Amino acid sequence: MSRPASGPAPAATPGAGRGRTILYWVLGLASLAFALVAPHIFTGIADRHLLVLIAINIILVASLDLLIGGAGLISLGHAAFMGVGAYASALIVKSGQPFIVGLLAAVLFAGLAGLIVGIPALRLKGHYFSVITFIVGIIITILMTNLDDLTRGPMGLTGIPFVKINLFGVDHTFRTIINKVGYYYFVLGFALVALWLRWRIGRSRFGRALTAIKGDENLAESVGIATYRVKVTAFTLAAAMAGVAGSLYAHYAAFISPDSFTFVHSFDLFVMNLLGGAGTFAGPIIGPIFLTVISTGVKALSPALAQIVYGLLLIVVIVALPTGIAGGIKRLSATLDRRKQRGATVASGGQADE
Amino acid sequence: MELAAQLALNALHASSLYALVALGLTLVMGVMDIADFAQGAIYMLGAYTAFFATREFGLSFFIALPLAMLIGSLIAAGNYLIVYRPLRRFSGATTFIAALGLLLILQNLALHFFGADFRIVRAPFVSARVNILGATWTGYQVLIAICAVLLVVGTWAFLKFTPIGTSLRAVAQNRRGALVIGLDPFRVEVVAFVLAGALAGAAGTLASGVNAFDPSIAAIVVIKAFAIVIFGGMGSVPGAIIGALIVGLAENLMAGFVSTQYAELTAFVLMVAVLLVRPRGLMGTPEAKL
Amino acid sequence: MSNEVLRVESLTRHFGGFSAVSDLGFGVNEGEIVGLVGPNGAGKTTTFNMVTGFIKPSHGRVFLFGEEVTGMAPHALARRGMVRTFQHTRVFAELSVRDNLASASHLVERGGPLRTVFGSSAAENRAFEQRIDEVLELVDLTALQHSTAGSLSYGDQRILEIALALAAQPKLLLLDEPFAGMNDTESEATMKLIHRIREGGVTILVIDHHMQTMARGCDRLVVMDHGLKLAEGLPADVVNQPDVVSAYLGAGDEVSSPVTVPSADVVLSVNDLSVQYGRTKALRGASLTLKQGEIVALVGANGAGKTTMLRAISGLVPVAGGNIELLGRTVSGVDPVARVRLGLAHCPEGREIFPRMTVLENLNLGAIGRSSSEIDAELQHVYEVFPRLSERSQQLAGSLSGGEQQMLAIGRAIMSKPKVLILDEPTLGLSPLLAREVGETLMRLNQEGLSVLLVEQNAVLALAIAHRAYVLENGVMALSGPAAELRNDEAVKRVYLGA
Repeated sequence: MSRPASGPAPAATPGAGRGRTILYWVLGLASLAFALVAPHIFTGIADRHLLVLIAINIILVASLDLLIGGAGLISLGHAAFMGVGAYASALIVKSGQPFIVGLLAAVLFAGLAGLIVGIPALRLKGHYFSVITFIVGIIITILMTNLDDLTRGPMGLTGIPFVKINLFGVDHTFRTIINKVGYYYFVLGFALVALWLRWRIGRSRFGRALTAIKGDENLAESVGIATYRVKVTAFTLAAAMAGVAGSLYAHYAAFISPDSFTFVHSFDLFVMNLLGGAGTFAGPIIGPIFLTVISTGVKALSPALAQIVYGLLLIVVIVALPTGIAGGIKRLSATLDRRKQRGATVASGGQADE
Repeated sequence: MELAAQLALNALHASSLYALVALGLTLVMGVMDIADFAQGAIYMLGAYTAFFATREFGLSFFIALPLAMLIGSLIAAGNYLIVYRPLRRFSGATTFIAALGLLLILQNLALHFFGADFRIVRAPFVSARVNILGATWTGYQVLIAICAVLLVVGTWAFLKFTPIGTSLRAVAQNRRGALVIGLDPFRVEVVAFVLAGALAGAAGTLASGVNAFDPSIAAIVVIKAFAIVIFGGMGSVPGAIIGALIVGLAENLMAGFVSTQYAELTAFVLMVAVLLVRPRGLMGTPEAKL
Repeated sequence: MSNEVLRVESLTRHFGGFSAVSDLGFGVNEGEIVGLVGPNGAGKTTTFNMVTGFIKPSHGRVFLFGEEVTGMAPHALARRGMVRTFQHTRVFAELSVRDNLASASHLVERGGPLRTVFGSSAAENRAFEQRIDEVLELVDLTALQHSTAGSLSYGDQRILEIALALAAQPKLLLLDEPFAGMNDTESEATMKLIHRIREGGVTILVIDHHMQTMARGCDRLVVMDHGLKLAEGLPADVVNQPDVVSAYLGAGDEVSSPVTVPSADVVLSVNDLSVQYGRTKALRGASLTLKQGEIVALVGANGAGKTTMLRAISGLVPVAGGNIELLGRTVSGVDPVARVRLGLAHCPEGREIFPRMTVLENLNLGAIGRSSSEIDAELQHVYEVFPRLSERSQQLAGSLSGGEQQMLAIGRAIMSKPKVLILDEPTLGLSPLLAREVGETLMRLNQEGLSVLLVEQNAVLALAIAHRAYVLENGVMALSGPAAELRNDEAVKRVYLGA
């Protein structure tokens, strides 16, 4: 069977790929370098506070992207799992345990919450799933408020201990009220791990199963992917990662309350993910940076106005910019690639598309 | 016996308000497959309409009620024309998220203009007492129940007996069949939204005399109503009503015998239970897998 | 006695009151290519869906390699070696061809948390890539491996679909209409591919309508009709059995010919119509006319484009070329609602009644917009034509039998007192007796002045009651002429049975 010489659009061409890989590495290293020196460029306390928040949000968005970009599961209650992790870690460390135990507790409890939520929620398909995650996120906040023997309810937990770690035999406490820079690097380490994990999962068999589910669930089933099981696993994993972010946040802010993990925060994460670009590597980095900068500016005007802007952003992003910034850049470079290719073919006198 | 009667009365009171919002939600869901969370904002604005109408303009509560319904209808129709209709070729997830965006915008516009203070409306007949089977109801609670029953029955009659109501049921049951016999989906959709907006606005107004409110009730009320819709069956009118009755009863049982705090969660527990056992809801229709 | 790979016993599936599949039993032996054939509505796809775990059977059992697998989920069946393709092409449109195959290799790849985080060994990766290369070569898609699946031609997408199934390394491959939308050359090539796959050790079960290709390429055929097994055996034997022939072409030549004489006025004309669904050209430059007082039949094999034609006339699908004139007016761009108001009524395939409303409510909806006296008069007319509906006027439409639902659909359509009635496969799933009743009803309505365009797979009945007929083949008008002539034309038989 013969095939026409040209026609369908190439997803990637080998030659251009190498050039692009080098570009990505350069951009990546430059970004890393910038991230490392950032606290010394932005020296104000408010600015450094933002840097820490951005780093924490990178972890959250990377975990959310596993669901949205990886599997096409639009989860709208993600901040709740962060909250579960935050409370778990805060309570454990307050009771005298070291930070590492608190962190593990955060992973465990947030993951467990993800499992408990995921099992019924993932029975539903499409936007019904999203509706449920939204509702469950609110249920979890209600629980946080009502289990006040444990959580001290709406008044929140105060006096959460700072992170104390043992570095090369020396005890070091990240007193984030006075010194944010050290903790920023601490969280940055976790953020890099989160990004790396997200990337590795995307390239694995598990990630390919998620991609298949995102594309066509029935087709995925028919080639042997146990779609329900895979989705529940991904959901649990994402929740556990969010728990880590929660723990890091709790020991940074030293105070958490149910108001820190509302559905509005879940929307923030969703917008960050979408704005940055779902399913891309840079998306979880670009999104938090953009949105944190925008929201700080708008909040200065009025807090209600910020929410209105969020509402508008939500609608605009989902309609006009479904692939986000990183996705848009990818598409742009692919279009440029194709134009270059066509130009080269014509120039070399070869056969152009018929 | 008296306790049971009081329980039943309280349950009925809660159910009637839930039923109104759930009914509107399920109608829109059935006709357009949209989870219209913005209706929570309409509920909230219904409450504020009552507040400002009675406080600032000195209008009677009985004028505030139809006024709120009118405003609710207009806002709902506006949402449909400006947001949902243009987005209809996008996926259901997109429209849902747009609905959330609308909810956020409307809730925060209210916050910006009305402030975060809790308000309550001085309702008529609050001091009157009525004794039913040994349980006591305030006159206003009786009024709420009467209004709710009238609205629900009226909606049911509208759907069953009017041509446009029948068209609405037809589009919800089989959209392709409806198109083929010349039913205009646009008209039906507008009517669905207008109806839902009126119901939500009415519910908000009725509730404003009993519970103190601030803009944040928008989200709280709509998610509970949604849980009821899912529990009763998405798109099912009897499901919404029966779901509301069951949830109202279960909530009050929880509050009476277990704890008031967890009573709030009853609707959600029922929703999760139904999802695990019978995902289509009590009275919903099964969805095909392929 | 070779190994039995698949056995189906007493397989049955009900949908409400309607039996899509009844007591079906057959087997597939190792290394065979078995074809499951039958006219539209015979129950083939429902059978497939039951065997592959997408629908649960009402009764009956399915055995795979001797193990009972009835009702197991599709992924569990894939794990046991059975993989299927789908009737409407399913590929991962956003991914490249190669990435498509990578995702489909799930069963054959090794995973686990360590490999997820740290990657597989170099040897495993090499084997992984090699497996993909092999599949690409088998289906001849190597040249296109980096192309986005969504941008491939229709034919290549169908091939990719088969390739995806192969990537899961099945022992039993179920192909759902692999030749749909293909011309003879493409079908031949695909059948050759299927033979290559069989040579690689895979047993194959195929559903399709391209009788010519199926008869030539399959080892054995199982013929279904009305949910039952009609015949089974070698293709040469089966194709010429009279009950098979009549199942495909239909029965009903006992119906008398039309007595009305149509006028010369044209009420509906379709000129050079082209309709495209994505990449598929469903209609290519097709034309037909319907005169006042006529019954025109539009026949052809499944997938020929008949339903598309009716949908285009009603305005339910966008038109890529050509135009349509209804009662003298060009209706391109006119929305479906307005066309109904102009005097067009459409009785769609599958009836599309409102199941949770009563018969009376369904009928009343058909007359939306008319005055109540008009509605009453028309209702009387409908009850006269369909006495059974009058008996059941308060019954919920969803609980009616198939034949009664069809009556209801036609009744609903004529409630608007249309001038032109178009019907899509009204006898689908009906017994020959009921089919004849439908035919006689249409003739009666025609005598009352209604112009009818009838789409039917049951060519014999349609040609018996029509004045003129058109034959559609692969989106193109192949034949046309007076129905009496076409009734005896061997060409019609060829179009359906390929023989």
